[in-house]
Amino acid sequence: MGRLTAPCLLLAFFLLAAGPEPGRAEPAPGRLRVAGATVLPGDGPAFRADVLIEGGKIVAVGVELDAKDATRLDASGLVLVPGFVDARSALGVPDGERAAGRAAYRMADAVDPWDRAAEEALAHGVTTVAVEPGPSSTWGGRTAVLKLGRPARILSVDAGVFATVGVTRGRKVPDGLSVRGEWGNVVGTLGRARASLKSLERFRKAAAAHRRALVSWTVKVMAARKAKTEPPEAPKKPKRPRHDPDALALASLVKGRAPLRVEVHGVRNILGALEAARKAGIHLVLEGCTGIAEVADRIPESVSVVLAARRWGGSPEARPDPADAVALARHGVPFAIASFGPSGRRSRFLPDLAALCVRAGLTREQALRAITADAARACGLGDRVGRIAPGLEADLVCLDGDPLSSTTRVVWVMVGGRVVHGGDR
Amino acid sequence: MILRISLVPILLTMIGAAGAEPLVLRSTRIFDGREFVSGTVVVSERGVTSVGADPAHLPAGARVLDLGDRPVTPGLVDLDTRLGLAADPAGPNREVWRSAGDALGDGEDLRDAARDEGISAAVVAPGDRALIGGLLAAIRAGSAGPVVTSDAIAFKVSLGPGLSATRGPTSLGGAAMALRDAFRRDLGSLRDALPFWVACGSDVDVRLALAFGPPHGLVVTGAPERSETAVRLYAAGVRVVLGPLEMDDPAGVLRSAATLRHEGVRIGFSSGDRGAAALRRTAALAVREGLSERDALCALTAGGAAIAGLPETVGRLIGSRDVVVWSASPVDLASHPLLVILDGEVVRDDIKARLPASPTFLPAPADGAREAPPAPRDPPQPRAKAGRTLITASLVIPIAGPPIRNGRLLIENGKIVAVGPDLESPEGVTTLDLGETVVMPGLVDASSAIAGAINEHTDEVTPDWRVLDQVDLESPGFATALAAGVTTAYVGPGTRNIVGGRGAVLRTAGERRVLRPAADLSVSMGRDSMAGNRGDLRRSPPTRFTHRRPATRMAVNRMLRYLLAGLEDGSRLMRDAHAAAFARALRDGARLRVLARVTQDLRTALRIANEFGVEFVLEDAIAAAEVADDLAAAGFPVVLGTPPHPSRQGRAAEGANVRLAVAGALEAAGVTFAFGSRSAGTSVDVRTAAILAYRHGLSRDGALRAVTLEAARICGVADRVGSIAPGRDADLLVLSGDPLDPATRVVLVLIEGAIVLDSRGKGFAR
Repeated sequence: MGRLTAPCLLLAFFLLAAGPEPGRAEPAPGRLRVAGATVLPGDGPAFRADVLIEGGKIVAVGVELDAKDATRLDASGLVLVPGFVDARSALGVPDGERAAGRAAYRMADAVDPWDRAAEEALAHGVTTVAVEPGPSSTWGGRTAVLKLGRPARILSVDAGVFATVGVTRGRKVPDGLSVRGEWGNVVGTLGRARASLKSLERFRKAAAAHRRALVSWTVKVMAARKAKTEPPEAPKKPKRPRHDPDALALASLVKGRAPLRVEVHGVRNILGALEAARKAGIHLVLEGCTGIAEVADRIPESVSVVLAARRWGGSPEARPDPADAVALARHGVPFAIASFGPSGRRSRFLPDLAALCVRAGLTREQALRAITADAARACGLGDRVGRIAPGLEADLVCLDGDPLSSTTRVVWVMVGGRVVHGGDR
Repeated sequence: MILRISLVPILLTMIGAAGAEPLVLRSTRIFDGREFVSGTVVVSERGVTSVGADPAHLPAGARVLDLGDRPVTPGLVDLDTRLGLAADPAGPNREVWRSAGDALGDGEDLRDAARDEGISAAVVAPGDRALIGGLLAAIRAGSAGPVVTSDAIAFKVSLGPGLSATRGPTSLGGAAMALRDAFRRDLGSLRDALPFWVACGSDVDVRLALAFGPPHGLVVTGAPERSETAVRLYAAGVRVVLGPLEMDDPAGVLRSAATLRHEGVRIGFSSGDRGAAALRRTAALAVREGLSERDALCALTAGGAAIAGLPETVGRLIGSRDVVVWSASPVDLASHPLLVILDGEVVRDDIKARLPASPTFLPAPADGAREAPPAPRDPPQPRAKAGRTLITASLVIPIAGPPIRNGRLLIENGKIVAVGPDLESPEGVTTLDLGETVVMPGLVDASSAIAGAINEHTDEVTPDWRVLDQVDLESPGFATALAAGVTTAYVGPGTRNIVGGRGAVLRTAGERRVLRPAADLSVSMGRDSMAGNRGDLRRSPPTRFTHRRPATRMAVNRMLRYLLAGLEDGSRLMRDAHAAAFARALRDGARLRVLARVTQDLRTALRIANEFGVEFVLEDAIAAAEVADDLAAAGFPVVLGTPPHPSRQGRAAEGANVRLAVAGALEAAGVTFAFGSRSAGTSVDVRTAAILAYRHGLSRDGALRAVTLEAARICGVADRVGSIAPGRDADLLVLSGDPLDPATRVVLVLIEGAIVLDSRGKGFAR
């Protein structure tokens, strides 16, 4: 009997480890109707409507909602936008923690949910941030997505694997390791990941077979005991394959569950990234992308783009140009505007960064999209946050005017149906 | 590519703009420099002739533009910028007295700034890298390049983080010392003639700038964070130039504009060395953090012009020849100029053909929906001082006399009036019955580590250096000391210089914090003043401060003897600035506080004192037990460091091998001593030091005196603190039990009769 406990415990452990979904919020009680606001849904023009919220989600948006029992939250004369989404941030991570990375690193392990920058960002209407490693090594680690609140919760521990290619900022590139070498590194690691995955798959199959054999062997042992005959030989355990932990970490990537998020600059690197992703058959998020204006017509629909509106210091090739955003918008390519790093304090100025692109020629609708709906899509959360539509999480920001204007004040911020900043809570 | 294309029509417009026809601008948001008005702006050849209601006669042939709610403002004013300069005039090779106006370039960047950012006037200032920067000039963006309107509106001094660490002073105290010296000499006459602009990086810098307050006004550039500083700036009538602010700045810095305006301080904005776009970005960030749009716009126009003392026409619409029409509010990052009239000439015109579509994508907001910005927190009110208070406790330890059971203390106006076992309770007195507690004088730390180690590295002898110039009175170190029961602390300079400068005796809380602004003069005899120095000058010329400093004990003492000899032999050595400053300090009544940790230093100190007939206070003298009899004979008091943690004992570091019995040995020999928390070892509070010494042979009375009265004597403040006696300040410590029991907690701390720390009812959580 004792020989059976080990597999049972193992099974129990797997069940427990799967656990509850990370980032599930305790839903707010009752129904709430935000009434009379001008709604900017994040992916379309403004309209005046009520928003009905139940269980932390938006259940209806419209003018004549059947919601007599709902608590009314008056927002007449005010503007309602989805919580802003920062598709690349350094929020909650100390600078040193972003210094160098490996593919196996998880930013979720480094994030401090009680960071003050998170509270400040929340006060400015930023409700979701993707926390990424710094660009100081080819492989940075796995992006975490945070839902800000008190404290912040981790929505996703593996929202993509971050890599940087062709960026020399703050990085010790050994002599002879060219951009070509870096691409070799990326492609090679992806290849190893695929091989690792195959051997892991083989191991899983063998392990499952072993478990089945173990059960039938136990039955035989019992029978043999009863019959007082010689018990049969125990089945052999399959050998655990030896893996490169970094390659193994990329399993979600090669399976297509998470994207490769790569910071590249310059036309040649952008095209290189598109080619590598196509060959490897993986989902790609392009970040930085200085000079993408010239190849805006060659970006496939499956690829997401994250742009920086403004960055200080750094090498000239990585200096963002708002003209890139204007060119992408003209070609109908969706993109996000993000705060990048290196300081998490920047996240709260996300609307102001979008405003800088408006100055360069983007329309306000396009700029708002880039920090809400399209930013959520770039984080792989397009069906959960970033818009005001039924079925999405009730992350709402109530403002007294144009969301992209510095003179506008945040009246309240709601996360998951609960007012977490301003208002009377 | 796109930008280049869109610039072409603008350039064409510029060429065709000469001899412009009169313009009539109609808008609901005209900012005249102070307020928003609705109506018409008439721009003729002479400039703006009318603002507000429609004039009776519109000029003939005028072009009328209906702008809706697009704002119309005067040209913006950038205070403190490098725009228009050919090079940074305070570069590494600084030239004092030179006006930034002498360094003007061709003005291309200024023209761009006018066209893209609506900036029409600027104050060009030297950079922040040199302590004494130079003259500031006011310039205007004219049609034919920059025009200097005044080449000396103020003088720039920099205390901020821009000061170069390898050339300039390495400490704020060093900057203060150099400034005082400069004012004594050639800068003094300038101080009487011009306002000073002081670049500050922190609240401490601002405090120092205020201390220098020149008679012709002071403008602080930088961002003070605390509202107390803002109140102080308002009281002194100081104006503040903020910027450039960046998104990475801490929230407190970004909020400073709102805080300053809330306290009534006049502000302006600047782009510094970040380029023209930084001006409006700074204003936009300040608005994001609570400043009102009107205040921000005023700071960008008339308010800013007033700070720089620019002519009346700058920053106001009426009479101005610089007018800007914006696509949205100028403090909105998404906005840009639609029409720029510079010096009466149209230099940008994006509405020549047709007004671009409205920038907003919202339906018109309902009236009154806009909320007032949240008002900043009120500044903390100073606690009211009790008029007359009678304190009763189960035990009062006055130090000046024997302990009193069930003692009573009468306090009036922050002073102790009477103490005794059976005091009558007079009429109209507040009573404070503390029950089972012990009342003793607030503890005195004879050498505190609160300020950390501040060293001025540019010289080894700095007698003019004063710790008070540098110490941040709001530093959390004071609160930590207060929580340990310390009410008074001696704060000295770091130990890297042979003569470090003047320390200060400070209270840890209360309203009057400074007991002695310039107390003892620090002298460092041990290894500190030579550690890291290099004696070998043969290989390279002495370019760094480590080359100039002494590298042996003998050299240190030679320098000390040289300085002390200057006192007698004035004729020969008084020419030396160091010796003169040293003599000045001693004449001023400063005692010499000599750091001497090991036996040979103590013996040398005794010998030198004997040679020159001076008196020393010996600091951190952990080997004092070995020369106790000599010290007693000389009558020199000793400040003992606290013993280091056992894990650090026995290390090679000087003073790490302290013995706990030293205090007991000194008491037996009759040497006066006190405890200081700054020491070679791990810093602990002075009560813990007294407890450890008591455990190792010191008498109970000696232990208590060493942290109160003796320490106050050594610091020269025994007539005010350190004992409970009539006439002394009511700086009191209330403990839960025996002061020499490690488990005893601090219950209350009073400074000048006011409660500054109260842990009653907080259980044992502390």
